[in-house]
Amino acid sequence: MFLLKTYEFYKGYSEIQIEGYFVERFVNLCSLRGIKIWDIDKKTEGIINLKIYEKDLGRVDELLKITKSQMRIIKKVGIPNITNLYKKRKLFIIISLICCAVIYFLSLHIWDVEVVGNEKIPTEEIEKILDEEGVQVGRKKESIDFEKIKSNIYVKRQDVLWIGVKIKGVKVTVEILERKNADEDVLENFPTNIVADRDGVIQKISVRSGQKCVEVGDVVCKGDVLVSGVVDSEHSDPIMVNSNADIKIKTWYTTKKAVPYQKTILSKSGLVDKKCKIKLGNYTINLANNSTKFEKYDTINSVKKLVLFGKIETPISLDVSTYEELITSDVLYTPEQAETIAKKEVYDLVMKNIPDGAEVLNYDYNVFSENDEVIVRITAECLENIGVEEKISF
Amino acid sequence: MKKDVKAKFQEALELPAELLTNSYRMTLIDNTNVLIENYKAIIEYEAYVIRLSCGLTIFGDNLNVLEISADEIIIGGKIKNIEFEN
Repeated sequence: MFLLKTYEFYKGYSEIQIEGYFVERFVNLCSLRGIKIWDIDKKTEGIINLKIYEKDLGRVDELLKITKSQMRIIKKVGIPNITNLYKKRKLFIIISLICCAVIYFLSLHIWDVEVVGNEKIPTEEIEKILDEEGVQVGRKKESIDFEKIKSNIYVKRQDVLWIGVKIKGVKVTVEILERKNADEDVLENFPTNIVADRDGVIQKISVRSGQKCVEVGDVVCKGDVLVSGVVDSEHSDPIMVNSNADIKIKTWYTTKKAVPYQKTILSKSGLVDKKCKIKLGNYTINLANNSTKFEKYDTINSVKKLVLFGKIETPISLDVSTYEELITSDVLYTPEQAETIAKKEVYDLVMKNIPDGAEVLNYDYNVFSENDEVIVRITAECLENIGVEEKISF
Repeated sequence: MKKDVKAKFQEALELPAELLTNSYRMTLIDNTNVLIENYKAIIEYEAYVIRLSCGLTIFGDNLNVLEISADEIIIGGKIKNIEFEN
């Protein structure tokens, strides 16, 4: 059914209305003469609606004369009708054809080069090499021999292990797999010590390989050797091993913060003023008066550049300045209020200092009051992993 | 005499009955669609009745001719009654 509908649409048909006394005769004549009609619908006495192919419309006139009826075209459907509609609008067709041609022409060229997968090699360097080899924005896709470029890059850069080139539309994606640095891989094969990287008290130490140098409860400072890679043996000379251990230490972090009882606060009133200007290179067009009526305000500037194809930057940009009005107000805190504020601020501060992976065991506050401010000091006790591997130097 | 020859010929070769004789063939799908082959012509066409010159009268609601050609007609709508003449 769908195929039939598509065929009908392709051939083009009209929905027509026949009015007369002998509409049945009209239908019979149509079928006898091989004029295909379908979807015949009787509306009222003497009026029928039917569908007929565009090419058969001319043959109907004769039948209309015979049956003394009249025809009215209700709707024209199909591709021939659409093309007829645009036959008069020559310029429109020409321009749309030109557009298609331009889009086709542009799609033959590269408009974006993307480098992915590189971690250590800077993207600029790879882009520079690609540029030298001819992978440039605007070059024709067909004229580039990627196999040759790949082998050239392999020769030029020893640290590139593999290159993959994907062309998707007008975008070239160069995928790079780096050769891993040789030193990193073999660190495990060297004898190493484990050294403290911060101060604290040893809480737990379990050594898988190496000689333990500290005990639980010892105070260690940054740089102290915790586990030695030189293992003494009763029967032979000392053995050099790669140390491996889990060490946990307790650390303390303290911060203090003073909050005065009287404070001037800047707060947003909620009033916002937006000013736009368009920049064409060095030339600026102000769309509105550029000053604001606020006395105190925050300014947020945002620049939107017109970027074509996600890559090509044009000198046209839209600058939007948003002014947010600020109001000053004096606040007088009670000692309790000041203390809670200080506690919250000091807690946030200390949490920023504690490194990731550390477990906070507990924390306590010390509160001092001075004549016009309250000082809160926080001490946080943490449990954290410690120890970095260090090559033993001879 | 001529009819007899046709009938005998049809019997001898086991051909379908509607091929040589002047009879019609009707295919009904539920009460919504009916295909009539060899219908000859439409005598009367209203939304509630379609009378065909082969001797069939179809009664129903909202009857419409979905497709028509020189020897086939497909009628759609809600068919209520089919009447045979002669």
